[in-house]
Amino acid sequence: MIRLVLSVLAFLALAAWWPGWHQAEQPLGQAVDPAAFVAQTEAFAARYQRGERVEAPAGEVPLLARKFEFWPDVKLQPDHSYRLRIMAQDSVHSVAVNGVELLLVPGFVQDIDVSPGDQLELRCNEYCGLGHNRMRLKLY
Amino acid sequence: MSTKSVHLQQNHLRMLELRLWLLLAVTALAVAGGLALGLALARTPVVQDYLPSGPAFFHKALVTHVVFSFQVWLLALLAALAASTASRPGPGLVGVGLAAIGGMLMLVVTLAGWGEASLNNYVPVLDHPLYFAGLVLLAIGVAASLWRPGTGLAALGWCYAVALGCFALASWRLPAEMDPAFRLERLFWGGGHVLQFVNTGLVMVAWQRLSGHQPTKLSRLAFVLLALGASAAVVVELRFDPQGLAWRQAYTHLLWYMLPLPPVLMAADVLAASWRKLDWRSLAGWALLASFWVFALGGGAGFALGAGDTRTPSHYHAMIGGVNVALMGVVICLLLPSLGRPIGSPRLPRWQIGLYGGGQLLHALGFYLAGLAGVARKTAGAEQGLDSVFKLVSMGVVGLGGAVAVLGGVLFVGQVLTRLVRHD
Repeated sequence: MIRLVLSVLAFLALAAWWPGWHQAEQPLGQAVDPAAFVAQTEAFAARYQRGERVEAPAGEVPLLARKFEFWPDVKLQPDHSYRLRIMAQDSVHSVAVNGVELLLVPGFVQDIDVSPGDQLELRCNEYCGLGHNRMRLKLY
Repeated sequence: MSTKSVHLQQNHLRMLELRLWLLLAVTALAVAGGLALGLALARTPVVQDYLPSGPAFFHKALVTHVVFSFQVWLLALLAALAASTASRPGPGLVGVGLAAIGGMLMLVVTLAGWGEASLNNYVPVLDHPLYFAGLVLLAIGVAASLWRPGTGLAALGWCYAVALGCFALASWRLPAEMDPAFRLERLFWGGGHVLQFVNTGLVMVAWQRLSGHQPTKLSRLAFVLLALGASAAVVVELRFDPQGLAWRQAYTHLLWYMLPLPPVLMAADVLAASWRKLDWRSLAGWALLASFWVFALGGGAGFALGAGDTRTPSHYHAMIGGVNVALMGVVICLLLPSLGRPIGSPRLPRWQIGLYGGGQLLHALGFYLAGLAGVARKTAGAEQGLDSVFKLVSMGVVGLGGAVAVLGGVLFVGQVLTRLVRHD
């Protein structure tokens, strides 16, 4: 009898702990004009292109998530602070940074703050097609 | 017709149904093995150009390999377990026919090279109407076997109903004009998670039957908790938008919080009752032990899900391996003898279960270690970035374990198909 009661209590505790009851829907980010954001990103990439990569100065860095890449191929300086501003260009993607996942939806920009010393790699975390697992960007 | 002859006829039909479900299950494994060979050919220069859809055959074969070795095999075995005790064979016989037609449709679509491959989670598909028709027929066929009196699998029947409900709801709630990859991922995400309750229930039934242990209050409670856990999917569907992140994460958390306890209770119950009574050197004991080990490793690796590295395949290979090795034991030790078709000598099955269980253990352990070192999942060749000895050795263990497990799987298919087809 004690085993049964303990089992039920354990289950109830786990069920109560389940985030599904209280979890809130994550915000999609700032609504933007998608065409204008794409144009802004292309201008940024053209301005800071150094060889094969884009060497971004400290500050805001616009990025596009699209099948199957994060574009442009940005290189960050490890001792600088940045704000990555990412928008999905073609369909839904996502990115997980420091254990927090952000859904990337066309028309909405999500911000990721990068501090000196961070070693981030962007990876798509929402299945987006056969090249999904190739969709990653090493930022350093 | 006398009552006795009606009873005999019913029993004959029940045996026929059980045999057909077993044939479907094991044939699905054989087809999956054949497609695995196709995967290798699709990466072989020159040969790949002669395949039905050229090099693109790789992804198509991969999809159907997964569907047959995972969904068709497990669901047909679930139906076989239902058939082994059900009182009325009629619905089950219709069900096995529908499921077989469904399997054939999916195979035809694959070999003809129709539809785009989608490697979405849980139920990867070829995006073609006939492929979906095949999946629907399989689902209905299994339901016909499972949802009838006398199966002793009420909790699994409920979990299966919740899973099908989730698939249907997602299909209705997700707009048809969405990006196909995203839509298919979300279509199979919720129900795919709930199907893991069915698979867990399947291994719990297998443990119980292998141990020869009668149901206790604790084991019954474990099944009730399993069904309650699966029912929480209703909360997810009521609270969240299936296109949002919270919906997806709530299902992942559903498995973390609601799924581990029932199999732990069942394992504890089986171990407590069988520890001294069961002959662990017997074939059934050997299969039970192998299943416990592989399943436990998979359960542990499950807590690293979402990391995007090879700890994810470590988790699902070990979970599937743990379920499979127990089911292989049930087929060899219980279902074939109940058909009057036992395997003569226990020697080969013992090797087979050892090779499959040991191979899966190595395979999953290698993936886990490689994932810890940062090897990304679903990558091959240079993309894996095997830039350290640790990563190389880990992935070597993956390959070795996989080869050993495949050998065990081939032995199983060969032995069981032979016994099902031939009668001495």
